[in-house]
Amino acid sequence: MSRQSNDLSARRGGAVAGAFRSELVKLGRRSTLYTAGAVLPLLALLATTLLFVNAGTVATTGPDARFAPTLGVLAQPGGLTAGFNGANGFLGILVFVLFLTSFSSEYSQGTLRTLLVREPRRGRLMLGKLAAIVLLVAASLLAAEVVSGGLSLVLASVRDVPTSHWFTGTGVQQALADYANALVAATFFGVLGAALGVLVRSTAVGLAIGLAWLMPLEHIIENAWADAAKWFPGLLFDAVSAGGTQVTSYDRALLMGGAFAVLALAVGAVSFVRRDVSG
Amino acid sequence: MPQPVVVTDRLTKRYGTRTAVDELDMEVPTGVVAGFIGANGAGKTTTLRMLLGLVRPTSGTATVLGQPLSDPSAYLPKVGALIESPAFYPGLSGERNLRVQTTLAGLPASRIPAVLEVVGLADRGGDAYKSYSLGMKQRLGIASALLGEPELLVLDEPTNGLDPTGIREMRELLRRVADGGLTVLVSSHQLTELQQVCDHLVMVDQGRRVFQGATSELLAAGTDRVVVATEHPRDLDRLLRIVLARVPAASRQGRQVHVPLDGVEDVTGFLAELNRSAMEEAITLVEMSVGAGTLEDRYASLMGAL
Repeated sequence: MSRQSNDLSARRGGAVAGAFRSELVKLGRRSTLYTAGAVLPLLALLATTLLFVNAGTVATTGPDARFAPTLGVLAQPGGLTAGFNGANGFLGILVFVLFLTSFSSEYSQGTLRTLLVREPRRGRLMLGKLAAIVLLVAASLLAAEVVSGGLSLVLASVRDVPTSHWFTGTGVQQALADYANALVAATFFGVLGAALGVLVRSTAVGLAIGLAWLMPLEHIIENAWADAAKWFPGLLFDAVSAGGTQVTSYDRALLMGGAFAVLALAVGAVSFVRRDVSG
Repeated sequence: MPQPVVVTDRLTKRYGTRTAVDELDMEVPTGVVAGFIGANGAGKTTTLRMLLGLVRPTSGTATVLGQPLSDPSAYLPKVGALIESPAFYPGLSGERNLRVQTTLAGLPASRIPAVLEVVGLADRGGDAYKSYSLGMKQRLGIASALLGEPELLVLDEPTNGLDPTGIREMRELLRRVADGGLTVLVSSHQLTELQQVCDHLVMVDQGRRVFQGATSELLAAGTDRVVVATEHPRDLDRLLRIVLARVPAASRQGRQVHVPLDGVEDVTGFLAELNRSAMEEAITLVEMSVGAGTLEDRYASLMGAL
């Protein structure tokens, strides 16, 4: 490799790293850290409590089944992270909102023009910002899984759930897989939110469009057409988080969900790099 | 002679059918405080945004610090800018907002207390940005622009929304900054302020250049004017009607009537006739003073001629 191309790579790396660290400085204020650090763990604690309180000896069906497994199911290797998994159904929306507002508010507050005068290489700026928010979400998810696991141990002793399978090789593997799936799904949701924020440049409009699609619309369509879960981004991301569902296999969810995320990233990046910043 | 810091060549920006900047040719010499003047919508902010790589020109070219507009990363590290209102994260302190920028640009954090000192915010750097007054926000904007020890400082309406004290402070700050040797390009509506700090002027109207050159050159090209005041303010409008019959460019400004003396050959005769006409209308004049035209007069005269 020539010296010139080495220098170019170093400059590119430096720009992304600078944008990454700069976003961490912005996110590093106490209130942001407390909020982001507390919401996901609190959700996980709530889900874990509901799970262990509702668990019975007979399997439940219907809409309440998600938070009412049998005590036997909780005793299986995945029982340690069952509460964490239960919370993940809501995680996507939160992460979507976090990414969307992070990008759209840069336009509405006018702070993007200040950043771009400092770092005109826009693609690198976007990449660094995305990486920093993913890191925040990853840390928050880790905290959620840890506190959920801790509470599960306490509640298992209260409900007489045997935990010997939780700490076997399979159990630990399951816990790691649950974390990885939650992080991948969160990243997909995040990229979609960031792209929408960049495209519409307005937090209110972005939230209206995004939440309307991901919350009621996809689910209404899914109720009428079950295969919607195989094609719609929000449902695919949820399937990744759940490690696959009865309708959508994990591999399909990962592949299709990944394709949506890459498409969103590409569209968002083109808009971020090419469009004038006049606000 | 050093190369101009900014050179634009037929620089144009169109939004659909509207032309915001129309084949603009301008130059900003090195080491001057250059005023960028024009009415709202004249294309000042769009031009500055193009120079800063925020807006892509439709056609034309430009160089900033000798580098082409197409490669902003080659020159922006040496440019400090405040575009329109200062834009910072409201929940972060002034100091942390500046740290976001030093981290992004790879600048030493030691620059932060230094620039806060320059703009007089050293004791308020730890306070949340949202708690700042408008003047403090503008000063933080200047501090941010100075972080990278720039060779060129671009300020778009830095006195917008400031009270008279804030405007005076900003003028003094600009003077201090300019004395440090860097080139400043500042757009403003405050023509009196610009006249006091600018060595060079670029005047635009409807996206086109109207004047470019030294401030002294523009003022020297103008003519004198006479300022007339009446004993009773209620008489001003009647006096203005009398004057307008002779000098159509006359205007009322506050409690005075300003009369440019373009085309008035016999100034003494004109003043005598004005005095007589006022007396006939029972208007008592309490002031008639002849003086040099201001930048405001020259601006009005140039715009009126278009």
